[in-house]
Amino acid sequence: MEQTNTQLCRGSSGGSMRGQESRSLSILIVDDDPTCRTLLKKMLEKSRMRRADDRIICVGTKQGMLEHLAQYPFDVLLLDLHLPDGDGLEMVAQVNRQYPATAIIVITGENDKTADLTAMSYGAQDYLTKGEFNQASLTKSIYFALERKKNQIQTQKALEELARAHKQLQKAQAQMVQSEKMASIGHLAAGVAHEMNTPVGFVASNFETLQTYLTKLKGLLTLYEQLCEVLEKNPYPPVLEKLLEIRHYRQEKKIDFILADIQDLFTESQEGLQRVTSIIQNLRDFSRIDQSTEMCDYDINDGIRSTLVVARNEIKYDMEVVTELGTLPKIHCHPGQINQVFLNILVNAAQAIRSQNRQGPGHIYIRTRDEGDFVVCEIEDDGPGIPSEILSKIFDPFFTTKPAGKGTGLGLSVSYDIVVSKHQGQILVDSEVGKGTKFTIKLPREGPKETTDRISQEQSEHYSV
Amino acid sequence: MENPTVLFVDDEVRLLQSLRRGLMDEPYRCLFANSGAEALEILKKNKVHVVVTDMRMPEMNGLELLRKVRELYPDIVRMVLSGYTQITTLLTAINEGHIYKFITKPWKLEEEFKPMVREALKYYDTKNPSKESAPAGASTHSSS
Repeated sequence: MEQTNTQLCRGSSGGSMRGQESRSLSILIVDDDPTCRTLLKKMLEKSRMRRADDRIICVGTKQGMLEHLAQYPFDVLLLDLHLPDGDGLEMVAQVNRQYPATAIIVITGENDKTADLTAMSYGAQDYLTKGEFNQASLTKSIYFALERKKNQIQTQKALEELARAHKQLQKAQAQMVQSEKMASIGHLAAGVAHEMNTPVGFVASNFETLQTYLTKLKGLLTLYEQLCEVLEKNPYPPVLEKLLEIRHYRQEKKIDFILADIQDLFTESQEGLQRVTSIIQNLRDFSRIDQSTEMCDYDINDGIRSTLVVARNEIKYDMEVVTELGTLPKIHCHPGQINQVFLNILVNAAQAIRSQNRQGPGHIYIRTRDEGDFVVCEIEDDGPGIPSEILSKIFDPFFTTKPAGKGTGLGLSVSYDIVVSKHQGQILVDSEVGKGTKFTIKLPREGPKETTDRISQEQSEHYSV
Repeated sequence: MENPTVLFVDDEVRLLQSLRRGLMDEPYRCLFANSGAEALEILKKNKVHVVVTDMRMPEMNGLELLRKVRELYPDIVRMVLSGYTQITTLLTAINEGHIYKFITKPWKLEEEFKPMVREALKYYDTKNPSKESAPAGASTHSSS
């Protein structure tokens, strides 16, 4: 309670203890002994710090105390530790927990001297021993209890602020590490991808040539075959011997199987090469140095529509796409990059739904809306959802749940980089296993600011769930 | 044109080997150079109609080679075969190398590579009709 700061400014000696801007105090006296209560109240009323509008309430039970505390914010609680319906230090701790702005002064009997100091560690600001205090020491005790409470609250607030700042720094640092990681992987990936094109190039080319070689060799083999047939019809001992040898070799080396299998071998290997080629393509997209750096004003609804055309092959017939596209202002962005984000998320949704092998069709909902400074796009699916233990990893480069050869693990990290680093937007994910997943993309209408202090931009709740 | 000839330049010998194999049935003579310097040597001694070069090569890169080729043999049709496809590379190749076509690695031999090289030879023909006034009967395409 901030108000406690301004009162009781003057020292206990000389005039009022309250400052000029003082306000009334509210004090709750809790003691089961009515004489004690009255005595305390009287002492307070005669006190030099007394003001006409002070509120002094007396109760005799814990129940009564809790009812009063719940109704009105008290500055000070004078609490006897022995009540018929509540006892001891737990009460101090409870009040301190529930009403952290109330200063607590514990009143102990002469017999339990140990309880007084312990009470302080449970959250009391001061203690008084029955029979050992007078009006002056009570006033002083109240004054110091209020001071301590004030300091305690300030310290608490400062600590909370520090903790918050620390958390923000940690988040900013994590984002920076993520961005740096992406950037360096991007550079590496681009270099690797381009270098891979040459060996993949000549392997693929050789492969094509090998196939034409093979066709020629097969032709020659057929001719030999025919020669064998002719020779078999005109047996001539030395030739016959050679023919048997050929037949034997043919069986032993499974030549017939080889000839039949060779086409499969080519098809499968070519598929492998095709896969390598597309991985290189992905890596290049990831680094995006192949793409134009031009920004323009773009209606992302157009982006959704064209992305749906591109993704048609992936979405096919077993999925229903429901679009609810609001009227949007054009935003300043890289259309190609933004479309890549849509594509990545759409394809992921489609693949997740397909992985369920479900009976009916899956659903993908795409919604866009204008939120003033931001345009927002939600892409939601009713697929299997993402388990919470991997939800924090989905934006990491090379993280994938797809089987080997099916995903590069770069789609979402690329999307993250595009939205957060390149456009200073936000990308959020909500997911529940068995229910589905929702990605929310928020893009600033004005586009990214030219000079960026990424930390201060407070860009994104990266892993918010 | 008589004896149509294409020169391929790449610092990767295996790549040249794969082209040598892949193009052996093509209706033109194939020459191969392992570097820009070697390419210029070959050009001194041979009548070449089309040059296909890699971009990234040690010592003399593709762009330097293309500039020299353009300066010394302006009639030659210039092409690039490269795995580097970022806009800047493409723009420099087109604007400074004055290239006719840009083929990306990895390439498709039958669908893409062979037709492009043949087109480049045809382009040479249309660009240099005067040199086409060969003695009657000397065939150009039929020999190719």
